[in-house]
Amino acid sequence: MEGVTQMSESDRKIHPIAGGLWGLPLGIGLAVFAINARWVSLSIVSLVVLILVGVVFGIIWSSFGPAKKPKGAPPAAAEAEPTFVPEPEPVPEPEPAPVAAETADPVDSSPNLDPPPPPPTDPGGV
Amino acid sequence: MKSTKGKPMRRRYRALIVLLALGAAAALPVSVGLAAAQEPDPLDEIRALIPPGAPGEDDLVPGDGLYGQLAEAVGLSTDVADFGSGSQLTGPCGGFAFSYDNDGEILDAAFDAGDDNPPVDLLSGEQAFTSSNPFKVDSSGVVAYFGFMPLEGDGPEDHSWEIKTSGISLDTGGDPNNNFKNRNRGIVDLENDLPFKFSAKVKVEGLLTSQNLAPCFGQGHVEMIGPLFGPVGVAATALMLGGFMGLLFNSRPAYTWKA
Repeated sequence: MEGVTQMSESDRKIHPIAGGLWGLPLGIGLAVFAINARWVSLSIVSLVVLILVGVVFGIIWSSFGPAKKPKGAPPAAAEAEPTFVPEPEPVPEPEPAPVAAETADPVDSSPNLDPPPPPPTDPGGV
Repeated sequence: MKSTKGKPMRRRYRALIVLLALGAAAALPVSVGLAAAQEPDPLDEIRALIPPGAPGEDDLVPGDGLYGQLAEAVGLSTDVADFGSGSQLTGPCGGFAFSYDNDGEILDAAFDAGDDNPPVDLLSGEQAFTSSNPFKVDSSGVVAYFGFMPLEGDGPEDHSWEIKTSGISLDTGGDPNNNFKNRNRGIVDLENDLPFKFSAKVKVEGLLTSQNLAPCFGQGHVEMIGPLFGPVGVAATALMLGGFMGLLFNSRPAYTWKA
């Protein structure tokens, strides 16, 4: 069971470079829109600052944003499914037991603790 | 019995006092407005000099005559005490500019006397071309202008000029000006000159140098007025949406199963 729980753990992966790259068009669009809406003056400083805002937002979002759930089933569940069935190992045949043993009581194999029966008595002179 | 009779009387007095106070409060702005209406606005004289409709190429405003009238009216009427650093026009140059929107309505008007004082807004009486009072230009309108350098005497010989914003050159030009021409007037038709309509607030600098005159330097703020969702606005919105979708679907943190 310990191995199963380890296999179903998930790892959080972040994509800051992708976030920065997607933040670039966001920042450019934000800068152009803000200038076109006359929220800020058209200047190199305002352009650079707003583009940087987009890039930084992308990096932060891709690093600390809500993470997506893992795709598919956990690996433990995937291994539980029979994908390869190995052939059963050959069972070694048991060695043949001695005949005396076979004639012995096959049912009760426990040691007999009863005293041996008395030897047959000689009728004397017969 | 005393108390039952006194209460209604007090209520009536209170109601009367409240009504009087409300009446006085309502009458105060009306009386102030009437008093203000009786005094003529000194800017009305200047506003009357500005051509009411956008001029065409064939009926350019008579520059010299109108400039003289404006200079006299501005000197008498406007009060621009606070000359900040938001705009300036220094050197032996001056003139005026009238901005009209697409419907031919006056949008803004500025005047400079040719001294070292900054230009004046002819419509509001404030300093023109400042960040809080930029010169408004419709991106599909026209601007009629008249400029001189200097007001009297020979014009700039072998001059060159440059217009910049944020240190980047927007346009350059020059002329030998062998005739020593010292004034110019014209119309800028933005509807035809601009490839697309947009809005922006821009700080612009201009410098004109010549062989025989002191340089003319000006800087100020211009506000271009255009549609919010014109080509520029639509392109910016598409970029923003594209970046946002990419951030939402392609760069979020993700959990992956450990091997």
